[in-house]
Amino acid sequence: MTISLRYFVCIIAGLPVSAFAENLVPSQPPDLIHHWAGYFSLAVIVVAYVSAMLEDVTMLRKSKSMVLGGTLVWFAILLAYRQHGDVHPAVEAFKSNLQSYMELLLFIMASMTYLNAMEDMHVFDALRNWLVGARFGYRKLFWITGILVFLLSTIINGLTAGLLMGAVVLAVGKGNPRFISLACINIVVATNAGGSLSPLGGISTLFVWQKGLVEFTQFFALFIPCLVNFLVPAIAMSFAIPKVCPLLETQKINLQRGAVGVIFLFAVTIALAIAFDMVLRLPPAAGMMAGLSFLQLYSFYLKRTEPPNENGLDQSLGFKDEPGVEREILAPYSYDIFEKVGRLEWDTLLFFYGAMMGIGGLGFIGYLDAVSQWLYGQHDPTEANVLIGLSSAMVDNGTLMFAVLSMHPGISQGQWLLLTLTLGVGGSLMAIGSAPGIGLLGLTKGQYSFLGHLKWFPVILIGYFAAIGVHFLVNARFF
Amino acid sequence: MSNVPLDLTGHWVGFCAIAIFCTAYVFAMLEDTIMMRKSKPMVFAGSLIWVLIASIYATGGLGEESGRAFRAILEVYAELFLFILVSMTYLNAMEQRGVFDSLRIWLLSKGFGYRKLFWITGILSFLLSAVISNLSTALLMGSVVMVMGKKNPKFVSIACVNIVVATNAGGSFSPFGDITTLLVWQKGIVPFTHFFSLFLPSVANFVVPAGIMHFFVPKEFPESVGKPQPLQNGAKGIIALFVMTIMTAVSFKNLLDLPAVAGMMAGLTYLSFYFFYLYKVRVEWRHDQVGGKTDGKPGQLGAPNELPETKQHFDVFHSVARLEWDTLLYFYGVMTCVGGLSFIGYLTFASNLLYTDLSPTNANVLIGIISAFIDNGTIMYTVLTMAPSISEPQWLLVTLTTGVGGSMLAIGSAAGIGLMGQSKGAYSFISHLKWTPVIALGYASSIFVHLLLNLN
Repeated sequence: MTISLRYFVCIIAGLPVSAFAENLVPSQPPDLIHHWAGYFSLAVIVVAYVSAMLEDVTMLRKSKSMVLGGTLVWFAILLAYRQHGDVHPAVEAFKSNLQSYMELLLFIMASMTYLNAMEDMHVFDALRNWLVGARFGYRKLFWITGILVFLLSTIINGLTAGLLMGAVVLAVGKGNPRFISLACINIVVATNAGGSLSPLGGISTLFVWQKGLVEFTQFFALFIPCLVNFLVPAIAMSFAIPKVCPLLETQKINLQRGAVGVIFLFAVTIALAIAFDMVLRLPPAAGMMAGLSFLQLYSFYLKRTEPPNENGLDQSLGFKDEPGVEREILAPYSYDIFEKVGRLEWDTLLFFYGAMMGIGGLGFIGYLDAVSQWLYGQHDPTEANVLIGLSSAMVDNGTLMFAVLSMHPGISQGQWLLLTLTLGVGGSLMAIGSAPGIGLLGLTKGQYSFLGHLKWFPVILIGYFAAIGVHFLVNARFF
Repeated sequence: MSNVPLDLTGHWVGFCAIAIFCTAYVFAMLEDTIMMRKSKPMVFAGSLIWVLIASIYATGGLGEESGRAFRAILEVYAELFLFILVSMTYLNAMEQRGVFDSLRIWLLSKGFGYRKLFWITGILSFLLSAVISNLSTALLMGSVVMVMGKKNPKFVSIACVNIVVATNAGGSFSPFGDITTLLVWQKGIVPFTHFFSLFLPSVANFVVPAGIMHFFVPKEFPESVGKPQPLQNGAKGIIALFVMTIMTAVSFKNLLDLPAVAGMMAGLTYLSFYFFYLYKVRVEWRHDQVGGKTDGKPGQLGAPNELPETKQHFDVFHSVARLEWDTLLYFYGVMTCVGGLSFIGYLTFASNLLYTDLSPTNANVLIGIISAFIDNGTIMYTVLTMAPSISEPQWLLVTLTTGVGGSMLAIGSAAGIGLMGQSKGAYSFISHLKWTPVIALGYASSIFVHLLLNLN
């Protein structure tokens, strides 16, 4: 695996592509798999995950234990490397994980700022009103968002697609957390399914394509299995969707001044993120930040051209004057953009810091490689592929695919396709298994939650196996 | 970033990038005049510069090169961002618990004379700014000076100059004091403990102007104001944890070679677990109270004679959300801009101009003087990106000069700009300028002390 490919992959995916740095350095790193540091890290991550899942019981927010876990893992790794001398590879791996985290953080930060600004301008209320006027019921919306994101994610990366549709769902479902939760699960499943059948959409597919193991067009053989994977849980969930139309609000909602401009800029920003990614080969997060600067400048323009004595505006968008020492130098801005930037879901964002660092650390130690070696050594390929797909519910699928590819198992093309499928859609099983899931957790401020997703685990699992069954049925010629 | 694959220094993209950066910088400097916060033009400029660069590289099929360079910048930014995130979270938590207020009220209630107050605020600024941000220190001390000097604008003006000088000097000898020193430390050029060899030069920088200004401070005694207040529940714990966090960050860097930010994130977990502990204790305490006498009002946690405590008192994420976003985003802009200019190849050019045509000492002294006009974080990041091959004492010298050089003009440092805004005219650009010769003397003497002590 060459360096350039690795970067190319990072660029295309723009996603947590963690723990690759171990391959950057040719020197012989110490084996930590059978070392106390390795066992310790494994135990720490398990405990941290369990503690995060028990969040509602212990009242300890999930990020707290996870950040500690991620920190301890790297502490142990560095301590072990220190004993062996050369710490450089470990430090580099840490930094590459940190950089992936930063990309995610900036991406979510920029899109959340837009969403917060739009919410303050009553855009979502108006959108909801419009949808109500158009007589879309919740069920219809559920299907529309799901199908749209399935198609969209074959072209653009999963995080962007998922977040975009998530914003729509949040807007429409405001006041109906049940709908938001279900629609978000549906989006995650649809995004992963859509991303698996095209090298543009999903990172694991991209890896296989880059390796030249499967032709570009051959991936479309996965279309029907992916569709099944999306449809099975979606049909089951659609029965749980409230049958009503979104509540009809009688009062007419006036958009705040500048709302149309903000919507337009948000569209431009999404387009920029995609263009940065596909054309300029810069991280999509950079495009989002460019878009954020548009919003900043636009809010400055709005502030400057604000008509005097416009009542109600200053209160609703007002800068919250805090008795902070730092604030005193600045005059209060009524279109204060920074207040909107700060309103992020910090618990979730910090949780990812811990999770990405922790899992990245385990990958760096070599556990992921060890697992895939064990799988292909002891099991028949189908079994191994199905199991790997299941494990991608917990672990970043790019990392797993990379681990499998670097072992070069001698399996048929049908098995490669199966692996692509299982890794791609396996991430749907849990909220933390895939980038769209992680992004939506951050976006929805708790309405779509880890446990909410977990409740539908059985149904998604049925979809997972249905997809595999269909794959064997439809694509028998590849085996 | 030293190997530049394409030389764009003579290309139109290069010229455009310079023009964009300069325009954005001018806008950022005029922040207070045009009422546009400094991050806005900067983030825009950074994005624009990279669009230009990447479009050239992508058309040449070298998109991966520029993508990699950008990601390298992002990694450095991540370290700075998370580091500041943690330290600001601590500051916010301390402020919420009234730590700074009680310090302020203590100073006000003691009834110090103007001369004494002049020295106390100066020394406290010097010491505090070694640990917390320069701007916060200056604003805190400034508020004391302004209350005590209400009837004596001359005192306010001179004490503010003193605070600015002391804050900048105090921030220069500690990696925790200022973004300038933090950048140098994170880059790994100067080990943590070596920064303290700048202590004496920094003291000289503070004491020389203060000693001269001392004779111009009125000899009166103002009335004391207010009574000292006890610290709120948990304040001492937070301070102790902040000290532990600093120690963790330093030992992560020194013993494990991990970026200091890893240690800071560990420190954030101390705070978040401490908040959790406080919350649990409070819930139990409240439970007992409710058992005794039922108030019947939900959400009212505090006893009657205590300050009202809201849910936010136990929510660490509330402290996280109140970051100085403008500064953080501004540095995103600065780093992408400067990184872009460096990737184009201009900084190699500038580095050659500065460090080969001049001797390193002269170059560093010159850079310090420039930092009176330009934000010192930007200057320091530029120098670090140039990566001139100079010795460690020279790196310390440039750290010192960029740190204290900003004291020479009121607009040269965040502390000065902050105080100008806070004092509403009593301390101004002109009143600072009157003392510039004295401050320049302090600047020269600190360099002299550094060369004497550390350059052999």
